[in-house]
Amino acid sequence: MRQEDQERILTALHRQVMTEVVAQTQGRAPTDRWPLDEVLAQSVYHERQRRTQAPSPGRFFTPGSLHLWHGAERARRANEAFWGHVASRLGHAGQLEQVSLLSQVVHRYAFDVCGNFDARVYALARQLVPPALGALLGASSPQRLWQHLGEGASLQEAVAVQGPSEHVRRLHEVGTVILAPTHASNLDAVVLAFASLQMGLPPFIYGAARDLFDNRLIGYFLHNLGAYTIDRRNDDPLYRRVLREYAARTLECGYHNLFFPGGSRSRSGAAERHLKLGLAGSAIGAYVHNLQRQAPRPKLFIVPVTLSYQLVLEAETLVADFLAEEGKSRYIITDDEFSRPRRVFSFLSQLFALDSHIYVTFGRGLDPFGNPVDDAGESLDPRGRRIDCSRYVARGDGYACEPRRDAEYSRDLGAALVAAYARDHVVQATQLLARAVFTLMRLASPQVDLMRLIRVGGGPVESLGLREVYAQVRQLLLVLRALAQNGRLRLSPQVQVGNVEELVSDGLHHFGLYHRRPAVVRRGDRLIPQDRGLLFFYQNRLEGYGLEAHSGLPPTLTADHRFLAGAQGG
Amino acid sequence: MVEHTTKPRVALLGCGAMGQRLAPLFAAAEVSLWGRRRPPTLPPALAQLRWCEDVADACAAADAVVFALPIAALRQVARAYGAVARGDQQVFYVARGVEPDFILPHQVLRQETCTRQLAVLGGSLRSLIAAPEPPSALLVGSRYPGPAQSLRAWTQALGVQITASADLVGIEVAGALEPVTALAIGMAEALQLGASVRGLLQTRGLAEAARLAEALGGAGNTFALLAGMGSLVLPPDWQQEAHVQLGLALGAGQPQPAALDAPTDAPAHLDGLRTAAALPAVARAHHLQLPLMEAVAAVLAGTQTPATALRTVLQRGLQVGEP
Repeated sequence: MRQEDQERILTALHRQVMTEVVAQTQGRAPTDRWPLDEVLAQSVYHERQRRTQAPSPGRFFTPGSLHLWHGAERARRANEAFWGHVASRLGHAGQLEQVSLLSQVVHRYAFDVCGNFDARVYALARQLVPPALGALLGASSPQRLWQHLGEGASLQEAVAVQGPSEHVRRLHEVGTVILAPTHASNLDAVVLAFASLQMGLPPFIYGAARDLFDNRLIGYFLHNLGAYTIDRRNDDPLYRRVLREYAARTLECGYHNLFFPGGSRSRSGAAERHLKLGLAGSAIGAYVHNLQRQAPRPKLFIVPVTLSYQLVLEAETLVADFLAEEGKSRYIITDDEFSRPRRVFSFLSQLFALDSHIYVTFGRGLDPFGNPVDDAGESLDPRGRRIDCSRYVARGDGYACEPRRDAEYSRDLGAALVAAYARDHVVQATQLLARAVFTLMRLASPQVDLMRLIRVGGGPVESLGLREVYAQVRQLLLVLRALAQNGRLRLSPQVQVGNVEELVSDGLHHFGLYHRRPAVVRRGDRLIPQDRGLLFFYQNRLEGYGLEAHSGLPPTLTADHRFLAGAQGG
Repeated sequence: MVEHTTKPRVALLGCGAMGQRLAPLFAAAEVSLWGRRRPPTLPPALAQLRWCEDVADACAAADAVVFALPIAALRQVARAYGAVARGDQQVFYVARGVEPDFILPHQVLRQETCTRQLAVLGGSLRSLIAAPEPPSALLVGSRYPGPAQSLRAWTQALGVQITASADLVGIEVAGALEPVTALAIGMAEALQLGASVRGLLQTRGLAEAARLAEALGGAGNTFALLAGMGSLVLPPDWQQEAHVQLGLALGAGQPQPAALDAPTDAPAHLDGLRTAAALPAVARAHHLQLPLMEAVAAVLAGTQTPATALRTVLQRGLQVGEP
């Protein structure tokens, strides 16, 4: 991001948030205390909550010194001093001082969020794509990485980019693009960076979880490649407002963005169906502001991107979190496989060695209201007729935001994204095998509830006959190939044409190489489920296609893919 | 909400019984009227409206479009409207029933047009059509707040009680399944099963409809409002309702009417036949047991007699869910 844009965005953001917050508090009934102190008290409270969850302060900028790094300890002390001061003034500060404190809080949040883009760093990364990204991905010994790369493997061969590339490139020329990918792994952002380079797309800015910046090497690159910080531990509504406003302002300035509508990585392994569209809602706000000021390129486009992994780096941790006995999964996981360089390196090594692929499928662009757009960026109705999408936000002779109306528009956008994710998922051997084995386990123990089946097993089913598994895979293949023919999903080339025995063998081979305990192993002519949680995880990627209708079994997950079917809250 | 400094412009599509009942609601607006065929003499409620020969002419400049059409005619007209539809237009409709594969009216409109602010007018449609005066209470189901706000503003002088609900799916399902329950009641009357059985069937029908609505994304408690309970109380002339009449005929063992041979081509006033034909598949797809609805479907398909079908339902009593 250009420095002048950064400063302009921060100034406009500050002004907008201050105006809105002050205007909101004026609507309340007058009390002895000026209502602003409630906003400040809430911020203090949330900061204390955040600190109890995250002892490491990470990167933290003070106003006016965007390029300074604070050591962790200095940052922590500065942070504490600031919030201590705010807390001490609550209950004593007059009206003017409260406005000043609010301004300082907004400033602080804004500088915490904002990132930077350094074209020199970006050019360097572009020249050294495979090893640079490999170093980012592994943060491991460069010596070992070079050694492996000498064997001829490359990220370029492992990442298969597909979709309407020319269409997506054209949209970047016509307006501002938001890439909206599925989220399975912390590798996703880097894989996407690589894929967008392959597509010849311009750089994008994106929100990266604050804890990722704790790794200095990754943090340096993230910061200078356009990442802004999202502190997922901060639940302060004021912070969320600053975040949304920042995203909206960058869009208004024409910066292409990336954000994960699912919010966090899929814990269950299933495709996202419950989306967090707060940042996507920024697109509507940005569009309205562009129309109001008659911007030369007012249009915004959202491009769904579906990542399909044969294996997921953090599968074991994610599914364990999903199945956690307390029934509540952790929103923020930092102690997973991604945080261990050896596991990351092992994952990548296996990926290269097995000639395995990560499929990155770009979908056709959508407008902020969920309508598809053509190559010229014109919105289309369901019959393919061009429409003027500015009419959705028209009011009188102008344009305006309406929160409740716009929230429903965002829901429609979400529905269109969910449909795209389902359509563009690439089925691979591991998911096929996992689905077949898990289905047979369920059929063998119909009275056993899912959680028990996953945690303890079904009782009599210790192993499955290979012929039985082949039959189930064969049946699944028939259905999946029919679905692919109807454009309901995609198949990897292997699943498209491979025979049953080859596919089962390939699935077993993949399961056997990376995870600490294979999901399923073969002993003679029997298959033995070894990690039912992993089986459950990989088979869930095929939830939502109606495959259970052929087995007579109910779905494993609720319709929104957030809970076990029949579980509390589901 | 549609803001006006002058009169709002409304396109009323359909000049049949429903159009006549709805027209007075928009007395505060400039209304353009379209119908498939212009009658030689328009009834008084429609006579003062601007007649348009085609849908596009009626809708192009409208702030709101009202579909006063049965489900069988909805898609074709929606497609014609879609050619001129705009994102800021509000769409109201009263179509009851479903298309094959249980496609609900709002889905038809979404498949054919770009408009989003869709609002179903619910409540008991029997009273809506049969009563001589305009409706005094209406349930407006829409995810968007604008349509109910607009309708309140336009009907303020008429004193119409507008109840807004965000549960568009629930209201549509309630309307679609109401005639299926009516068929069962007609059969029960013919078999002289008594008033208590009639009450049981009504209650069961409501409960099953609520389950289906929840499975399709609606809210079960919608059925406690006009959309459900409002239909539960039978009006004095309930036996004259078309589906009850058909149920009476079936229960009495009379020859199967021609309408049952092709439910998808059933006349507009027998939309329940289309709904009943689509119910078994949608129940299976959502892993639901709907004994009453499936019993009616079996009778209409000729695979069970009314007596056998109702006996199965009555054995379940008021239990809803898995046995």
